[in-house]
Formats: sequence, structure tokens, C-alpha cells
Amino acid sequence: MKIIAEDIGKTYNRKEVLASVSLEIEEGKVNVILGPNGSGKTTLLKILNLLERPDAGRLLCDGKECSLTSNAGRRLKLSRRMTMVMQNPTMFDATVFKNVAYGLKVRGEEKKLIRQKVESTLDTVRLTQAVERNALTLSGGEAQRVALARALVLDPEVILLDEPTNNLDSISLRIIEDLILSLKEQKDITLVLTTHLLSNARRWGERFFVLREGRLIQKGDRKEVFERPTSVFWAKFMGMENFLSGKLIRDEEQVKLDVDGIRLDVVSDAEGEAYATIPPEDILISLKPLSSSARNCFRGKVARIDEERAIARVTVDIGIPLTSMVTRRSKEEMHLVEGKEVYLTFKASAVHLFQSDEI
Amino acid sequence: MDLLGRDTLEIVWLSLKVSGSAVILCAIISLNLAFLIEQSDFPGKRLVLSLINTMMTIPAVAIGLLLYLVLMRRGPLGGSEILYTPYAMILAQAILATPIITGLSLVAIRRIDPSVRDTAFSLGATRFQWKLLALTEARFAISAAVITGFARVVGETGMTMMVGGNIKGATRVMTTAIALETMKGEFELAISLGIILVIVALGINLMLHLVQGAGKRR
Repeated sequence: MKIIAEDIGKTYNRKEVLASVSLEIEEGKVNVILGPNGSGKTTLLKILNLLERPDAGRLLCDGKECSLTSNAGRRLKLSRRMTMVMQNPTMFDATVFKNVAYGLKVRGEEKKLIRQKVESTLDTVRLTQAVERNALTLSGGEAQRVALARALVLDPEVILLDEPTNNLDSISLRIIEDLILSLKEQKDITLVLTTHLLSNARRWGERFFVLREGRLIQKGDRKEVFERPTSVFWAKFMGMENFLSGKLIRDEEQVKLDVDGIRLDVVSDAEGEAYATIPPEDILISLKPLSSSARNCFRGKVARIDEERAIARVTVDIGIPLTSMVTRRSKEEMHLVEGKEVYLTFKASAVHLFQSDEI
Repeated sequence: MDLLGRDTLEIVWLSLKVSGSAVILCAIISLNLAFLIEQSDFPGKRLVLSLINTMMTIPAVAIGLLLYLVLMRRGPLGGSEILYTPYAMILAQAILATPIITGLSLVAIRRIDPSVRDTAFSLGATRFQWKLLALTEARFAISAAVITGFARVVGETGMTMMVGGNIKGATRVMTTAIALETMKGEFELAISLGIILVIVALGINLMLHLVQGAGKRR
């Protein structure tokens, strides 16, 4: 099923939780909604699952409006093609078997088929031994697995997973991660999952949507979202370094970024206030000025060295502090110590610019 | 008089039948009412809730009087001719128990985690199927509500006598019989019925205790 959200807005108790969110859920792919806690991920997921109605905008399921329809039959038909696994899922006060069977039972499936499907799904989440246990007595990880089984048993076209690996024990974590990866391989299932963890998003995702305070600030494929952030917030969230805030000015027919009087060559036609980040691995350190095609070369003094395993992060003061990443071996061969004079070289294209109004 | 003879058993049976019917009728109305109130948002919701709470404590004789005035020959529903029949008693007892069962069921339904509802709908439940699930989820508290309602009406005397008339073989139930026999000085039947009523009360309490115990053990 193809789901498109158009300008979705939602307000709870006068607090705007979502504001004009537009996105397309790609069929057969793992769609990841990323963002810190409280950014509106769960609400968006509930709207996609038709559990909540948006206050503004609309949702299209296979091209037809579906979020506001008052036709209960059509709504039920659509909602039965997808299912959501909540964060900290709620178990019904019944056996594990009845919990997993619930969705099939409400669809009026035959008892024999229900038993067969439930048993094989419980086997997938490795909980066959718990079939007759009351689901309220399960641990958090086991409950999460039952919740996933409850969804999988329905063979839905779309599965929405809200923070599927939150607070899990290591066994459940592995089982659920493996399941997500195997679902990723199945091209007839569309996954929409939320997470605040970058590592999970990178591992599972194929399409990404970044939410911040109810607004969609970036979307796209892996390369677009992780390599070309369009906001300082998202770049910082990803742990990017060397944030600079300055002004783009025209200097000798060329646009440069002026940061506290230091002028960096950049690739841009714009002018005015701008923010930038330079990946530490794109900055070279040398003891003498390098003659290369790289447009930026500055002299400075080593201000600080942080060593982590085989890597050394060397912060050099060139008028502004910039951090470069070198191997420990290089650091030792170059005899880098605090106060030593060095040169930093990087390409104009390594300076990643943000338009200030995209913050 | 035979203490456990036909007459006594007839009285006991009618008591259970009247109060049982009243509570079944009332449970159907009350549960629907509780779901309706819980699921809808309307301007006077708080007023309705406090009205239900007030009704829970209304004296039974007041309901008896009101129903009498409505059902008496010259009353608005006099034509129904159900005054002094078990139907009038069932109606009166159902009216008495409705606020109690509605109020307590409402509390029970409200205690269900909202995520249970979302989960049920997400798994494809219809509204009706969700209500059934809610009843199973809150089964202990709802059974306790129904048992409390039954306990309230089975021991009720004044109201039942006003609309039932305490007619032997027709509308005479345990409480009204005890009152009458005591006034007549016929203590034997009064005492035996009294004992049975106490046993019924004990049974109800025991059931309530078991139900609540089962709820707590989960």
C-alpha cells in the first residue's frame, strides 16, 4: 500500500505536535522516522496507522484520502492492511496464544488456521514455550517479541514499529534485530519504524525522515540524509564536528565564508549569513604548506589532542579551532604535540554549507 | 409452617428471579451507558458524571415513590398495568442499580490503559470487538460492579414493597416477607427467610472477594 502524508498537522491540548509534515512512504522499503524524543514520531506513526486523525492536511492510501473518512467500513478495510507495534507494547490480560491470535480472531479466521499461524509465528520470535503463559507476566523483551508476533501473524502489507529496540534485554534485542533485517529482505512488506538512535537508523533504513519538534526537517535516501545535512540541528545530532557560523561574502569574484575574519574557500553562489561544518576526516595536517588542488590551507598551532584507540583528534587553532582526524601513527611520526605549528589543508567542497533559514 | 417448604422456596426463588432480572437488564444498559460516556466528549460530561454519583446514593424509597406515581392507574404509565407485578419490581430495582453499575463500570473502563484500545484497533478490531475486549480486560472490576448492584437490590425492602405490593405468591420476596411476618408476629418464617437472606448476602460477598482476589493476583 502506498501511503502519502500531505501537510499533516496535529495539536494536543493546544500544543502543536506535528506541523505540516509531508512524506511518502516507499513501498517494500524500510522507512525510518528519526528524531529525538518528543519530536512527534509516535503521533505521526499513529496517524499513518489511522489510529489518530490529523487536525490539518490529509493522508492518501493508494491515492485515496483515508485519514478523515467517516466510512467505518473503508477505514477498517484499510487499517487491516497495516498494523503498528507500539513502544513498550501493551499485552492483553490473556495467554500469549490469545494475544497473538487476536488480530486473526477479529478478522474471523478459522480456529485451525489461527492455531497453525500463531504457533509458527511464535516459533519465529522464539516464544513457543510461553504459549500458555499470561502475557502480563512476560518481561519487557518477551512482550516486545509477542507484540511483533501479533503483527507478523497478520501478514500485513505495512508494519509500523515504534522504537522497536527500546529497553530490551540482549537476547530479545538480537531476535528483533534479526527479524527486522529479514523483513527488510521481503519486498512485499513495507516497514515504517521510528528511532532516536542513529546506529539503528543507518543499519536498517533505506528512506529517512528527520523530525524535529513536529516538523520534518530533512528526508531522502541514505546519502542525502547522512552526508548532506541541511540543518545544524541534524548535523549536530549526527555528531558532525567543526561547526562554523559566518557570512558568505564575495571576494575577488569568488564566494568565501568569513568566520571571525578567517576566510574559507567554499562552493556556493549565495551570500549572507551561513553555517558550515567540515568533516574532521577531510582535513589534512602537514608540517609544511601543501601544494595541492585543495583551496584552503591555513597555518595554526595544535591546541589539543584527544586519542581514542588508533585515532587521534587534533584540534588546531587557525584563528578558529578546527579538528582534524589522523591515525595515532601519523601523529607520532609527525611528533604532534600541543603548541606545535602545523598546516591544515582541505578542499572547498569539504566545507558543507547550510542556509541559515534551514536551521 | 414448614421453614423450607414450598412457600419459602417460592419466595426465595422470586427474590432471586426479580433481582437477577433487574441486574441483567441494568448491566446491559449500564455497560452501554458507561462506554458511551467514556468514548464521547460532550459539554455536560462532568455534570452527567456527578449526576451518576449522586444517583448512587439516592434513597430507594424515593425511586419507589416516583415509580409508584408514574405507574399508578392515574399516572402517566398507568395504562401499562404493571404496578403490583414483578415487572414493576424489576423496573424499580433496575433503576436503583443502574447508577451504581454505571458508575463503577465507568471507573473500570477508565482504568484500562488507552494503549490497549490503540493496540486493539491497530490489530484490526471493530468498535464492537473493542468493547468486548474492554469487558474482558476489566472483567474483575466489572463483575464486582454487577455483584455490588445485585447486593444492593436483593436486600431492598421499602421500594420493592411500594411497587410490588407484597402479594403472596405473586410479588412477595424475601425482604418484604420478613418485614410482613415480623409485623404479624410470625417470627419463624421471618427468621428462616432472614437466615437465607444472610446466606445470600454471604454468598455475594464471597463471590466479590473471590473476584477481587483473582483481580489482585494477576
